[in-house]
Amino acid sequence: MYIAMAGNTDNWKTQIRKGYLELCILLLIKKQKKVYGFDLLERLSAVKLDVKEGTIYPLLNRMSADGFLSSTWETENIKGHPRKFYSLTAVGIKFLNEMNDEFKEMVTTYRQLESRTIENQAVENKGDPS
Amino acid sequence: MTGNAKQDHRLETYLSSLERVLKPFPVGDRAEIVTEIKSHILDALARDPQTRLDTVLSALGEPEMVANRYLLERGLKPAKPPISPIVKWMVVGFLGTVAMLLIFVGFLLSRFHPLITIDEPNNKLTLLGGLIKLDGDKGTFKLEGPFGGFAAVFDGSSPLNPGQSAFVKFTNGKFDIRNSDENQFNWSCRGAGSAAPKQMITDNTGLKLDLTTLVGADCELEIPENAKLIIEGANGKIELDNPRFSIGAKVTNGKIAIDPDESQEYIYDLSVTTGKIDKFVSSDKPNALAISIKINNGKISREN
Repeated sequence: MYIAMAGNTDNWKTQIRKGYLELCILLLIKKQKKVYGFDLLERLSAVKLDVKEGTIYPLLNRMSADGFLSSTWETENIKGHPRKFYSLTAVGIKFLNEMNDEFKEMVTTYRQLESRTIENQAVENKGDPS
Repeated sequence: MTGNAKQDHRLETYLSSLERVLKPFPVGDRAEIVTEIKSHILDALARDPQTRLDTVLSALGEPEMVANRYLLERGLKPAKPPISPIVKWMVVGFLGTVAMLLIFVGFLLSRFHPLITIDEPNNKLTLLGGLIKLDGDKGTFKLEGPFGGFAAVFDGSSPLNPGQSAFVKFTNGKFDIRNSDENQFNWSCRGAGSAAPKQMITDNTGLKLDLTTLVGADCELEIPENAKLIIEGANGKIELDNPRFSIGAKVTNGKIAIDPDESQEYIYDLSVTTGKIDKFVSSDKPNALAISIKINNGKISREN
């Protein structure tokens, strides 16, 4: 039974991280104005949001196709190799704001539910002789 | 690129595989994806000079898997994974075995060619390129091995006078022994073997017939009157049909059946170590024929 429950948590974790990750990526790109893949990976890692290399590029590709990101190719100097830099589009900014609002609401709801549980626990503890 | 020819090749291989699985993408998009991934790899190598290309590629994952993720994100069907090497080798092994089997069958067919030959006018049938010969008229079945075997019908005849001995030696056999019309020792045997039976004349005492190389001999022997038959073998079944000759028989495992001639007198010397002996009555007359039989395991039975 214990093992089965652990499996369920993993699934949930994957699900919730997926949506959360997209929000964080858009936030980061907005903050940096312009960022390339490798740089993005390092910044995410810095806030303990480790993403697999093989995951982020397809994700950026899809978000570009959805119209949230625009990209340009830039080469640092003559000897360097070209890098793809991403920025938020107007649609992307709008999408990010919607995600932000939704997420804030989720946090509020969560806080409410959590505090209520603590309240109930306190009430139960009062009436409990042990 | 990476400063090392081998590594460059490895990188190119990786990117080629990636590009191949990305076929569903338009050519421009595909090129951009490959360039971006390559750019990432170069950045990763540059970030830490100690890092090896293998490490970076492992972190990325198999090119097919990375490409599949691109496809999945865009709602496209992922490409089929490459055949596992285990499956590939199992298929190779199976096909190899089939090939070997076919070669073996081909060899057999070429060796035993033609398979069937029917000779209607002469009422003969030959199978497996002459290995088996059937003669409808004579009612015989012959086995002639192409591997250096010999004709399994072994017939012969030799003069044998009263007082002389026919000495027959065998390994496994079935013998039907009866009287010969004249002073001729006749034999007719069927069986297969690796070498032909030998027949030797032993000075004046008689004839020796070595059937030990026959596997499963099935013989008919005709012994002249008042001659002597000495027969020795390992496993056998012997039938003595109204013998008018003396007999000395020694069999390790077997059964000997005697049908004595009513008008003949015999002196019996019969012994079976493990087994059974039927009742035989010896005569004390001077012209009685000696029948001496020794069996280790088996039976001496009376047939009338």
